[in-house]
Amino acid sequence: MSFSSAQTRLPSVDAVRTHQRVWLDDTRNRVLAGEHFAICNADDFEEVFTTFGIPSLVINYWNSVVTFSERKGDHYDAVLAEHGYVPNRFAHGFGTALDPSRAPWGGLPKPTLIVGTTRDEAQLRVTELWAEAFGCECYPLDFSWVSQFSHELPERWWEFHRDRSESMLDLARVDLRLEQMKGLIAHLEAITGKAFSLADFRAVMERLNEQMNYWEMARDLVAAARPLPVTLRDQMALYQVTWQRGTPENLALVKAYYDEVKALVAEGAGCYAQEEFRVYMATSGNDPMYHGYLRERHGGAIVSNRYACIAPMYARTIENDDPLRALAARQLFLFDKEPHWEVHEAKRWGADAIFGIEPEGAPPSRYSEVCEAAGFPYLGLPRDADDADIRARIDRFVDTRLNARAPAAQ
Amino acid sequence: MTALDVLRSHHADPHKAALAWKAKGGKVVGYLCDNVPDELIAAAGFFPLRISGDPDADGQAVRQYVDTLYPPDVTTRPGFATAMLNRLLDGTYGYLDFLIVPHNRNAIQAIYRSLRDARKAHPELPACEMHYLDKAWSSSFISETYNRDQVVKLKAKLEVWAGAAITDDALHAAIAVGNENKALLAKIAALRAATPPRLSGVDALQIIGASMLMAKADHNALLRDFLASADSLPERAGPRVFLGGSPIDHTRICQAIEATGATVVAEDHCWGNRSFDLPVEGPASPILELASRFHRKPACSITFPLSETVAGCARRAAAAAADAAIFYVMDEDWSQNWETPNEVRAIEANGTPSLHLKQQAYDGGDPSALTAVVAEFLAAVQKRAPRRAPAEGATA
Repeated sequence: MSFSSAQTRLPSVDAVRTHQRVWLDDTRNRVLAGEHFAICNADDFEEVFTTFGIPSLVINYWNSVVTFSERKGDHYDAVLAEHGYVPNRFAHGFGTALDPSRAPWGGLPKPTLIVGTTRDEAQLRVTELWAEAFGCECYPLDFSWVSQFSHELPERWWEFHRDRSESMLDLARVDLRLEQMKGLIAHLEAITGKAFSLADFRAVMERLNEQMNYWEMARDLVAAARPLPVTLRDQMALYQVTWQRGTPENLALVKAYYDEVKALVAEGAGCYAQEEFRVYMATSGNDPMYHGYLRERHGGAIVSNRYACIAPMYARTIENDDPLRALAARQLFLFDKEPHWEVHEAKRWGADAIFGIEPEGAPPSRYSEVCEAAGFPYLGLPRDADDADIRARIDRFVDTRLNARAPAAQ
Repeated sequence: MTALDVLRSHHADPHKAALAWKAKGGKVVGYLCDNVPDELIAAAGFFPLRISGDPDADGQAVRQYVDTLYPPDVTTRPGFATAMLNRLLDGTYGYLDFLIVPHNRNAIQAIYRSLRDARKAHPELPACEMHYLDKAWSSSFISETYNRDQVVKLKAKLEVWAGAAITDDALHAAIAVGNENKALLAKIAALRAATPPRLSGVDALQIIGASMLMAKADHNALLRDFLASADSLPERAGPRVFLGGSPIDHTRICQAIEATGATVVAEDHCWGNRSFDLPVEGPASPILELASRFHRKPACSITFPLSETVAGCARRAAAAAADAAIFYVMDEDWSQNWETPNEVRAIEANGTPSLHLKQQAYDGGDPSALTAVVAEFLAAVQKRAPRRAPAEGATA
C-alpha cells in the first residue's frame, strides 16, 4: 500500500554503505587471522579501540545489520524466546551467538572482550550473556546518562556540547568514568601487548571533531537549501560513519558527502518531486513508512529527524591536553529527547509541521504543547505504519492544520 | 492484638507508623529500594520510610503527569515502579518531608527526574525536597570509592535537612538496632525454612515488609515478642516453594501460591529475605562500613558479574530446601528478563524443578488463575520426585 517515488541515492552516501560492507568483511578476515576484536555499545569506547588499532563492532550497528539489513529479527526473536528470554531488539546480536548458523558472516568471530555497558540494567545483562556465549571476557564500565536523571540540563543545552559539556554533567561521574577508562586501557595494554599512545588518541579525537564539522556543515547546507537536496533516508544512512569515528577513511567519506551536498545545493537539485510543506520528525526511527503516501497524496516532504541533526553532539574541544576527559564527558551525555531541541531543529529545517510518536488515547504531551506553542502544528501518530488509519490521520491533519493555515512561525 | 497482628497491620497500612511519628512532630524521609542506608536516616533523627506501591491503583497519575512529559520509548517501566511513582504523585505520600531516590534500575532512578519535571510542569503536585543517591554498579575498587563518596554526600545532605551533625554515637546506635533487626529477621526466615515450616510466606512477607515501614526498635520489640512463642506455631504441610523473579511489595502472588497448600519458604527479592541479608560489619568506622554495604548491596538485583546474582538465587533456594521454584517476572522487568533463565538453569541443575512465568502483571492478575497454574505445576512436581532434605550447611 505504499506509494513509490523516484529518489536519488547520493554516490557519496552509497560509498558509506559500501565502506561499511568492506569494513565488516575486512574486520572478519583480520579477526580470523588472529587479530584482536572487541564489541561495545554505541557512543562508548570506540575511539580508544581505534587508537589501539583494534576493530570494534558497535552493538547497535550489528543489531541493525541483523534486524534491518538481513531482516532476521523474527528469527532471532524466536532464538531468544527458545532460550527463555522475552525478545528485545538490543539482544539480536546476542542471539547471533546463540545461533550463528543464520547470522550475517555465519556469526561473529570470538571477540577479545565485550565492554559491558551499564547504560541500563538490561544492556549490562545482555552484554554479559553475550560474553558468556562467546566464552570471552565482559568488562563493564559504569555508563549512565546521569544528566537525564540526576543533573538538570541548562536551557539551550544543545549549544553546550563542544565547549561547555562538563556544565551539563555531574563532575564526580566524569571523574569516575575517567578512572574506569584508564583501568580498561591498562587492561587492554596487558592483553594486547600494545602501548596506548595519548598523542595518537588525541589525533583520533581531533579527526573525529573534523569529521563532525563536515557533517554539521553538510547538515546546515541541506537544511537551508530549497528544495531539499538529500533524502531523509540518505541523511540517516550517513549515520553509519559514526560507527568508526575519527578514522581517516571515515573523515574522507564525510568530506566527500559534504562536497557532494555543496555541489547539489549549487545546482539547486531537489530529491523529492514536491515540497508543498516540510515536516520535521521528532522521532528516532528511520524514514517513516508513510512518507511515500505523504509525498504522493499531499506533496509533503519529511526533511529531517533528530538523528540526522546529531553531528555537533559528538564533537568536543580538548582542554588541558586531556582528550580522555573530553571523551569521558561525551560518553556521559550525548543528547536528550527533549522538545525544545526538536523545535530548534524544526526551525533550522524550515519545517511547517512536526510529527512525533504518541501513545493512543494519551493526554496532550509536553512535546505537543512545546511544538504548538512555538507555532508548529504537531501530529502525534501512534506508530510508524502505512495503513488506512495512519493515512486518515495524516489526511485530517493536513486538511485541518496545514492546508487552511497561515504561514507557520519561523 | 498479638505481635503478629500488629506487624500485619503495619504492612496493611504502610503509612501508619510514619503518620504517628509526624503527629508527634517528627519528620519522615521516604526512600526507594532496599539499598539506601536507612541507618543514616535514623541517626539523623528522621523516620525512614520505604516507598511501596498500591496494586489496586491504575497508574492514572503517572500517565497524566509523567508519561506526557517524555517520548513513549523512555517511559516504559515495570508495574512496581509505576505503582510507587503513582503514589508519589497522587498525594498518598504527601506527608513526606524528604525523599531519597537511589541510582538503581533505570525505572527507579528515573523517578527522581520524573518527579522533578512533573512538579515543574504541575506546581499543584505534592512536593518535597529530594536527594539523588548515585551508585556505580560495577564491582571494582574505583567504584567502591565512588560509592563511599555518595554515602558521605548523603550523610551531609541529611545533616543539612536535620540542621545538626550526625554523631558517631547516633550512627552506632542506629546500626546496632538495624543489625539486631536483621538478626531477628533471619530467625523469621529460619522459621519458614524449617522442616516443616512454621510460618507462611504471606506472614513472612508482612513481617519483613513492616521492618521498612516502622521504627526498627519498635519492630524489634514485636519480633522478639513473636519469636518468644514461635515454638507453638503449627507445622505447615505441602510443597516448599522458592519464589524468584521481580520484586513484589504486596502479598498477592504469595497468597495465590499458598492457596494451593504450598508454603513459600524463601524468595529472592528486595521485599523479602534479600532485604536483610547484609548487616553492617565492624564497629571501627560506621560511615565506611555503611558505605561498604552500600557498595556490596545490589542495586535492585544488579550486581556484577551476573554469575553472582545467579549463584545467590540458587543458594537461597537450596538453603530453603525448596521442592520447586516459581519465577514471577513482571512485564517490562528487563533486568529480570535476562537474569531469570540462568537462574532457572542453575536451580534445575540442583534438581529443583522450576516454573518461569513471564510478562506478568504487578497486581498478580486473576488470583484463581495463578493458583490454578501453580497447582498444576506443583502436582507435576510431586509426581516426579520425593521431597529433598535441606542442603548441608546451607543458610537462608
